[in-house]
Amino acid sequence: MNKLFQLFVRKYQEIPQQGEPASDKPEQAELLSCCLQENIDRIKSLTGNSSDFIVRMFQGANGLSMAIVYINDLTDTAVINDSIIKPILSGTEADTAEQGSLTDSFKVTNDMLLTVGATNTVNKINDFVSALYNGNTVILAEGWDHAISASTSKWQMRGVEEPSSQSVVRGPKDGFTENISTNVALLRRRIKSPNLWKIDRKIGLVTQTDVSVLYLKGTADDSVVKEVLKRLDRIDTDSILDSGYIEEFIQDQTFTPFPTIINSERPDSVAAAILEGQIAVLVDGTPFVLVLPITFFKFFTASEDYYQRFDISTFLRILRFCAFTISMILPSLYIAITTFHQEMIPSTLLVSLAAQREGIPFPAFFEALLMEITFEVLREAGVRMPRAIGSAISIVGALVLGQAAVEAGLVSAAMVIVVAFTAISSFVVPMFNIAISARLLRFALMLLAASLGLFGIMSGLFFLLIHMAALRSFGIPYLAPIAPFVPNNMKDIFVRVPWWMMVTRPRLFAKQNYIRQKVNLRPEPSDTEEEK
Amino acid sequence: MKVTGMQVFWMIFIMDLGMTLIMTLTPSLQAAKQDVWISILVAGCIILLATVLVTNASLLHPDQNLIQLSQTVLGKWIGKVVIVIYLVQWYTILPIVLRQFIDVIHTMILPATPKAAVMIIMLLLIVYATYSGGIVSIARCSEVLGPIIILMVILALVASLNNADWKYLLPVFVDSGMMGVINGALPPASYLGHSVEYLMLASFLYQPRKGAPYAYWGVIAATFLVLIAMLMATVTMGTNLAPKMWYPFFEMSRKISLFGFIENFDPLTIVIWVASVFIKLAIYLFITSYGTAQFLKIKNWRTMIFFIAPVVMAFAYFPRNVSEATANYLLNYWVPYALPINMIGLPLLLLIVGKIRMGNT
Amino acid sequence: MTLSRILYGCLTLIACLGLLTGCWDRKEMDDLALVMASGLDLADDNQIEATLQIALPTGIPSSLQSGGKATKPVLVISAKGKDGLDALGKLQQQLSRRINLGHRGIVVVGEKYARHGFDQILDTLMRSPESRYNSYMLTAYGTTAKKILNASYQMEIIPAIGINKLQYEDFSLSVKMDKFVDALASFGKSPVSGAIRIIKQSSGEQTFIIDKAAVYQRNKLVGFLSGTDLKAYRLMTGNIDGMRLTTQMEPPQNQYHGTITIHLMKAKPKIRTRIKNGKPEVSVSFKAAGRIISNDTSLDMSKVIPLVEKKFSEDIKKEIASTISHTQKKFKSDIFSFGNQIHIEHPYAWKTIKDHWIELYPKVPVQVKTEFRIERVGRTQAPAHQQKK
Repeated sequence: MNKLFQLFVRKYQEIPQQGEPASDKPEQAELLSCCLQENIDRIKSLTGNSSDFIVRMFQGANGLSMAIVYINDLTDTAVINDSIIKPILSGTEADTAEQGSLTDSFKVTNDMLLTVGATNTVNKINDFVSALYNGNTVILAEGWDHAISASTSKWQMRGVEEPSSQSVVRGPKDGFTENISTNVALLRRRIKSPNLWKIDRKIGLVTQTDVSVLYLKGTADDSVVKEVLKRLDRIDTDSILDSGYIEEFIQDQTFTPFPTIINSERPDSVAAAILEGQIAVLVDGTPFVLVLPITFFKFFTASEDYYQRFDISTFLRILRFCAFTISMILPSLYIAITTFHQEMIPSTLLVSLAAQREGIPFPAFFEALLMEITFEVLREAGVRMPRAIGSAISIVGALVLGQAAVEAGLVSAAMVIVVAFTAISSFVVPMFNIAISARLLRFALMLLAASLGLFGIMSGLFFLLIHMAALRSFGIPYLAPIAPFVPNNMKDIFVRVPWWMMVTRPRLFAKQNYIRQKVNLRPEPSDTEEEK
Repeated sequence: MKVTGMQVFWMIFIMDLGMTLIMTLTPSLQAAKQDVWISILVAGCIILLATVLVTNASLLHPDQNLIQLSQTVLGKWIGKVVIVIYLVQWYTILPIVLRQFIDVIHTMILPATPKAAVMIIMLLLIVYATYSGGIVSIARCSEVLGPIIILMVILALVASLNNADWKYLLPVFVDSGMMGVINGALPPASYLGHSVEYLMLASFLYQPRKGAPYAYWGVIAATFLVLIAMLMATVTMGTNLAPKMWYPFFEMSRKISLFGFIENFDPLTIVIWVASVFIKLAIYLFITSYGTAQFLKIKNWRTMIFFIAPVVMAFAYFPRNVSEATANYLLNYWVPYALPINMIGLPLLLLIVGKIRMGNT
Repeated sequence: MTLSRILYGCLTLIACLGLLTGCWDRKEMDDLALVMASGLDLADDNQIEATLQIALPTGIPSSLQSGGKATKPVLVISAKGKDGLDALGKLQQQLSRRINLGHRGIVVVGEKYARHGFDQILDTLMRSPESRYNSYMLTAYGTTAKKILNASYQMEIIPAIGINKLQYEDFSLSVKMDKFVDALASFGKSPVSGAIRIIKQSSGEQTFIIDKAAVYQRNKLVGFLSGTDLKAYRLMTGNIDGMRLTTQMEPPQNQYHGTITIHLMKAKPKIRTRIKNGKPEVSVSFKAAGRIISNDTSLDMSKVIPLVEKKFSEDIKKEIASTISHTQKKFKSDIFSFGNQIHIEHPYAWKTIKDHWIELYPKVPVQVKTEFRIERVGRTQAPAHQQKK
């Protein structure tokens, strides 16, 4: 597979590159000039004189001719009015200051007049432009060879809402938003430690997307952090619109049905991951935060496991493993048993199954394929369709395609049950992206089952096993802690032990600072209350 | 490429368990009748002895595998002869195991499917396993499959409990006698003797010096499970029928009948067979290609896989029928040659010469 | 790595082709003729007549095709041939669906064929990969297997499943195929099987009943056990599920018949053997316990338990002794596996006698000892309705 892909890539590389690549940066390295008008003209021509690009020229209180430049929709006009224009125009302090050198006026403006929170000095055209597009207001003056960028950004965005893709019954209900600073804030609110370190990158030459790497210094594996940063720095593309772009650029292996990076919409589960020594990658513009490195078994933990009682959590976790297996192999198992190993079915059941199949024209494999594809279409329609006609789809799906197909003798009733149960099982897995891989693998396994029966399914599963055994996520074996076996980690894989027993962090991710809590935390009520 | 001690345990355990369970029951039963369990105990002891030899031999130079070890200990030329003897074992066992695997699949679940289809799928699996990560991948797979195999064996045994008639075990010892027991012990001993491959695996350990207990436990656990399984097969099938069956363990699972609806679940017990053969073949393919590459001084051992795999497939067609593949190889090569020479004789030779040399220097 | 790339390509291609053109062993459920029971008879011209009872899925009433005329749920067909498989081949020629023996739960052998011996069938039964061990072996009593399989049965839709359930519940005697073959292959044991016969229902339809056991000597049928003999045999094998025993405690009077019925709760047969002067001797001790479920006498159960125990003990002893002597004198067939017991207890002596055990068996002296205990008597002491003097 890799080889094939490399062939394609090579072909593309052989094409002589025409025109400039995405990364043309001739004028951007240029510095600002001293002439105010010249600077403004330059910026205007650079942005194509876009209509939302506002230049306001005025005379400062000290008679200096000045300009502020901002983009209308990205900035808070009230802040510009109150904190920038007003102080500069009425600048009493500036009046008192002697009409000294230009540097003095710059200093005075920056240090004494502006009443906005963060300011910055820019002296390059490209910094200027990026400051504008981040919603800053840039202040220029005649004779300055640098400008002040004041942060005035404000735009409409979604507030913190309940995550739509991972909901819980008990537990925090806030979710990440599209704004990276809100997201960082949500994490910092949870981990109030100086050890929560944040490293920023800007990726995407055109989109200039903010990407932050968050990890717990002293717990996370520094070599993994270094590796993540290395892979992030390698990315040289024009645009990043979602963390999915980043994921595909930095994951260990592309040609695998299994994701090697988790994404999450829940700040609590990301915080928990960071506390265990994993690393979070936040991308501006998307509520989905990447968590890495991960193992296969991480996909089956929901954050609620840790909020509910441990016994029900353990039960649910095992249920999820079963549901995942079912959603992957149930249709193929049905095909294999009914067309290869009929002797495994009890006689009475077999006779009634055969009675149902009486008159159905397709072999069991095509019957299953038909129903599975029907269901996939229904599911996709349900996701993409306007909300208002959602109920129509369920009627069509349930009645027309289910019952009517059975009555028309196209599929057998048992097959409908199998497909329906498979579909429901696939929704049990808390992480959407691993459920998708089961969805795809199901079809391959069905083909194997139709040609070789149970042996086919077995060989298909072995193939996956070998694949997963060789898979890694940032140096961590994908099947750990089962293979290689790490006994210390088993307390949170198939069972979830009570909190007071989780003394150490999982050794896989945390390479240092294992100890999470004291050893003897088992609650022991004192006897005195009883005697009262 | 490094493996943990636990992984070595599982690899030796799976290599020993699956095949012994299914292939050697019949010859043992024919020789030892109801005393087959004594035979297994004897076989276990023989092999434990061999494992002690093997682990001690590997301790001579813990960082070297068999190919390097025999040349350092025995000198270049004698060492090469020894390697050739082992290579013969590896190159013959690969096609034979593959063939036995296909025979079982044919007899038990897929009577009409052509040999080539099953064979190619199995070969693809082992080539993929060996190629994708070498011994590391195989070790991890065996770590996952090992517990599954144990679980399936135990399930099959527990589900057979209500078919058991313990009188089949009586009378003890009288019917077969010493010779019967010993003769019955040889086939399982020779199949349990795959622990000799520890010589190749030890150098891949993180701590080669501490690997020996894992090998012992692998052998002990496999022997124990084989012992229980053979006991159950004897008491469920009876000493009249079991020796006449090709695969008594499967026949036992065919008799399972629980609650009136769990019947004929033998396709599920095939999991034991497919899983253990897969691990065994993959380990042997790795050992063979790695060993051959080292022997012939080929730099990239992975290229050897693509040479060996087709050869194995072609050779697997050689046996004309099930009895040639199962019985003849076992009784004409494996028991009389491989057991005394490869599993006991040569490790002993290595150990003695190595110790003498060490004493001299 | 060009070599590996070519190999990869080839292998993937072969695998894909194999998978797409494959399905060698695939058989859809509705392409199978599911044989639920098969019968074997010896025809007049010494050929073998095989009868199959095949489930007809079209005849099974399902929720979707409710109403309509009821079709027959099974198809019974038979053909003659040189052996069982030959006949099966002929049957296949008239069936549009492939014969599948994977669900055959019942094998019936006609009496005539059983008396003639049916070794050749047994090998086929054990060799074919489809065949199950869990099928029950039945011998037809006084009729042919064909007639048995043609008989109707009201309780179940498919008569073969009716037979299967009768055997599964083990009301009389059930022997699975492997046990039958095992007994045949063993030196110290003779095979038995359940025996099935035809009875007429009050409506005039023919149906079947399993109330006898067929006794074989080697591979030939030599006779049937019924009534008390069958009961004694079941006692001796410890198979007492739901068994009741009735005894005549007092001579019948006007008010009562004088019988007591017990429900057996435990039975522990024990066979011991001795070798005396090179001749084997067998002693059977039988311990049982039960509870009284019916008392049709004037006796007060709080007082006479030892008496009742003694009576039952004697009864059982008589029944067992007479059954054993039956098998020795009439059948000459060691169905109680005394031979195996000698093998276990005296393995060295067994080596000398095992080859002529069949001739030896009728002459072996057998002692029977029984012990019966009543554990419970129910809620009443004397019958509650009787007038007390």
